Amino acid sequence: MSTLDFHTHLGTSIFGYGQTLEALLERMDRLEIAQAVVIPVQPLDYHLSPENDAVAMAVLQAPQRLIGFARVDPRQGEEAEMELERCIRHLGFKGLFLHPWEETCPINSAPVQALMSVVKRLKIPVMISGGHVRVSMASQIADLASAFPEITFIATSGGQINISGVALSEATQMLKENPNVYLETSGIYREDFIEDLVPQIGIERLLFGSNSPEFSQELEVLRPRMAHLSPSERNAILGENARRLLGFH
Amino acid sequence: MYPIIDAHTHIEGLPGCDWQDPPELILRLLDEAGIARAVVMTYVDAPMEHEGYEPLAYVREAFQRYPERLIGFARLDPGHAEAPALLEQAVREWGFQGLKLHPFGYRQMPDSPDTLKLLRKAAELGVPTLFHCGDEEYTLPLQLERAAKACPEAKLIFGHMGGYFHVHDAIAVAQRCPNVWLETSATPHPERIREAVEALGAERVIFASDGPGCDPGIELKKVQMLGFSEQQLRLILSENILRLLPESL
Repeated sequence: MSTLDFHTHLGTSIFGYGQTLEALLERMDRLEIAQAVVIPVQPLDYHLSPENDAVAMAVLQAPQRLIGFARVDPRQGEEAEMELERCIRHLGFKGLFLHPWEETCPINSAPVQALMSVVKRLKIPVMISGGHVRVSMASQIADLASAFPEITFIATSGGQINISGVALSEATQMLKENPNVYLETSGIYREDFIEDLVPQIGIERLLFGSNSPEFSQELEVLRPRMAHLSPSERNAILGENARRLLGFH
Repeated sequence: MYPIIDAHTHIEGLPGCDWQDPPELILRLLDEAGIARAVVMTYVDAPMEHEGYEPLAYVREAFQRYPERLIGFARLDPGHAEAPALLEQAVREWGFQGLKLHPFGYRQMPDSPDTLKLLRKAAELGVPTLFHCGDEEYTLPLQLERAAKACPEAKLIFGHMGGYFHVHDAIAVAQRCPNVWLETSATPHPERIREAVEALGAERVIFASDGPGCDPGIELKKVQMLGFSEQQLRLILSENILRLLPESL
């Protein structure tokens, strides 16, 4: 039981998906997923702070299995900065999650850049819902990451969700040019994108994440587990890289 | 037992193409997954001006070398005046069994006069047309619907069934158009495949992987994990595509 899912959500989203702690833990048991990063959804009332509290409560119920990430809306300026600080210092969260699509805030925009000063001070990684047109395309994530080389960023879906493959080369370039950007594997187009990246950028920056429940944890865990890589490379993606990034060993 | 057929895979030998996928690569992945046969096509459209490489000849050579395993679809650019004659020759003389269109590549709407002419030729020859159906202009389900209605005699397979964000549109179009089938490759939402089967019946949903980029083994498990009955699986994994091919007539 060493698999760590770097990307799951708890709660009921205004965007029509959701899951409870019980459902998540039951599925993790069934799929032999030992640990998961848990993140709030954007709720019906658009108030993220109570959702951060709910995720913190969930982590308290299963502290060996869950790692909390904070979610804030960068457009809320100082309020977002204070909420992030509260989540890290008082709720024990280990990172920040930004969803530029659901919060409609381009990832290289001024509000996000302003938030990065707090991120730097707190020394936490930032996970970005990647690949969304106009707000989190690979080139936009690269723009932010190159401005803040001391911060570690994780681009979900490798920063590309396009079923024609037209975003693949930009995502590869982002990863090659920005050693502070990690790739998370959920919903990724073409499993061979992951396999082909290994000789180009190494194995250390690849992280398994499912983006459950928006994507299927049952399907997503197959991508790294069935990847045409060596057992040690698969283990790195499935948990070792994540634990090193989070400072667990 | 029935032979599992993968209705959408690729081979490519164009010098300089990023994706060099010889037929032996997809065959190896089919073997790993326990898939008996696959529909193959190139990533590039024919006809093309490239000295020493002819996409249809590459596909033809592959399915002639592996006649028990590979089924050829001709990927054509409808903008070329000779496309309908080329399709006729490919089907009647060379043994191709279908047409593949990727309108995002050649930048024509699915109901353009050139395209409709080619679709009518496919219908006249008794072969199905596999359309790329994703999240980009020219390939959106509601755009493909116009082609389905303008050419009701043509049998259209919507590859990727709407991609990441347009699956519900694809299901709605298939409900309105009895000449449309939905194909499961690469879309990351297994639950939407179940919705499609519930809305349309298992007779209208076809398994495919978009391999070798997408792993046929993972794509097969994506369909098998949904709890369909044996009869439903037999239709989705084998019988539906076979019924559309001229070899079954």
